[in-house]
Amino acid sequence: MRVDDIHQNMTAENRDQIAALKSGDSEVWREVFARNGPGLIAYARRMLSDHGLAEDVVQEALINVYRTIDMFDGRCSIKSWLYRAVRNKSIDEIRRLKRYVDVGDDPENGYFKESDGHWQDDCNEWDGRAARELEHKRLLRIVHDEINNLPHAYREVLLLKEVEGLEPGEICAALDISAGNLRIKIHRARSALRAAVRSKLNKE
Amino acid sequence: MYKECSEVAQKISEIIDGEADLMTSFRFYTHLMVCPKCIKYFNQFRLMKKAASEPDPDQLPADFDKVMSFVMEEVEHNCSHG
Repeated sequence: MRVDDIHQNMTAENRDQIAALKSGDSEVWREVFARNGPGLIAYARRMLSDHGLAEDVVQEALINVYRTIDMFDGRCSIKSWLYRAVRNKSIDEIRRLKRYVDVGDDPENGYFKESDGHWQDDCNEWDGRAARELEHKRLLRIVHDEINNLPHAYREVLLLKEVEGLEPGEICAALDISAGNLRIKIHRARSALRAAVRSKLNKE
Repeated sequence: MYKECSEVAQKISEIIDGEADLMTSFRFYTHLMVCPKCIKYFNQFRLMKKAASEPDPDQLPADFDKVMSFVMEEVEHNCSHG
């Protein structure tokens, strides 16, 4: 399904809800906030690494969504719109605090030989303990810690896709990027995560 | 099948997200049949996806009540005056 098709389906499903929000129906606002709020808080916490600031950011973003709902054109779901508001506000805060971590080179740079495109020696080696330890809390701890340490552009796509479980069309709308760009970001984010987890496991 | 491991690596996310078309999947999996290093890399990506989608065991539950109460105060104030 193309992203445009997803947007069209979202528009059809949400038309009544958006009309109720624009008319100022407080019960519909409450229902929308209650349904999405916990996920938004969890997302902001991990983007900002600060629980108190995350609450402030979500609060400010939701009030801003409420005040500017007339500008919402319905081309994406209200859920994407909420995540977009929280994401933009989070990035503003991260930049204001000078904590923004930019992405480096493509994480797969140097993995393959230029001559034939096959693996350089050792670059994908992993000692094999990881798969056996998946059930263990320790591996989950490492993976989640390393997600929280990723550059923000990688962290946000993994949080939205793997942790919050948004659909690709919803993520594209929340981040205002194309489906192709999302695919590249997700792949690079996973590759960076894998490299970070591998490095951690091999040190232990 | 894909001849280069670098091509296979670039397709892994499409494969594990179920977004690859039939021809891509065919070329991908036929390469895996003869390339243990790519199998290992593929399995590591699957492991990352699975682990990332499991709940963080130490994450405190999101407390949305305080934020909800503040935001709804603004909404209801405006609705009653609107």
